[in-house]
Amino acid sequence: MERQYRVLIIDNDNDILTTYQDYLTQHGLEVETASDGVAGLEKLRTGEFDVAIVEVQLSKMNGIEISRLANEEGIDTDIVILTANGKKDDVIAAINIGVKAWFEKSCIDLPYFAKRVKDVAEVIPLSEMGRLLSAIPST
Amino acid sequence: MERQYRVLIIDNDNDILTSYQDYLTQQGFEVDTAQDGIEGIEKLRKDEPDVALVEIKLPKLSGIEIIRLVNEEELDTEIIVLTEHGNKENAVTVLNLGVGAWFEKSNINKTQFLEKVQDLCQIIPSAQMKRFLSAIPS
Repeated sequence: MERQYRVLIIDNDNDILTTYQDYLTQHGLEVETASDGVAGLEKLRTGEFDVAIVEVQLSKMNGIEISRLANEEGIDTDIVILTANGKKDDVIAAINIGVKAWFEKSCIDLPYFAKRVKDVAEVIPLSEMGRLLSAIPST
Repeated sequence: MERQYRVLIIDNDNDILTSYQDYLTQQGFEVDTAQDGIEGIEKLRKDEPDVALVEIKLPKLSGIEIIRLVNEEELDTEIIVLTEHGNKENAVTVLNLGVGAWFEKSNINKTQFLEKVQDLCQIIPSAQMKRFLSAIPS
């Protein structure tokens, strides 16, 4: 059986956390939440998540900073931004960090969002890819 | 010897084409140019360079349309947006299409730019990755 993908949602807004946690759980994902940037980064550092859904504007540490640290620390979790507060500079920073997708809360298509999160979760992490490649017999 | 990486620059500003072509050639890249969107996508289809530098605002076919076609046609070229005309909506669109980097011409950091071009040239194309993976014994 295919394993259940694990998702972390980082947002200050409890309504957002509950709504998206319920929706993604109904779509077969295992979902945890964090309600500020520092708590979110600590959970990410456990390395247990396939995807993190991150608001840009967060208390204690913003979403771009979380994405940058996750990238620098080599955490194998892909980032999806879900925001109501992003500016053009934030989007550019997100591109250069390697964020996989960007959604605006104000105009979201939930079924498409859930599909995109699953697609991102299915990407093989770099560490696993390294193991796979090392299994190829040299010729 | 390591092979020479190939870069295509798509921009309708001749000064940009010349200065970036000269700079990247000095840094060891093989560089081609295209002056409008149609010429750009045709060269991408024909040559599949390692990296393409793409302006957003181009005659005949916009940079966004080029990136969408590269994505749809699964061309093995990593895209860097190099622009002075992109807005937030453009940036969100290209992020979701999967570009490798975005630089603003007006405040470019040449060191970071060069590092990014080099990093993206070294990404293994997806077709080659599939061949590697299919070689793993089950």
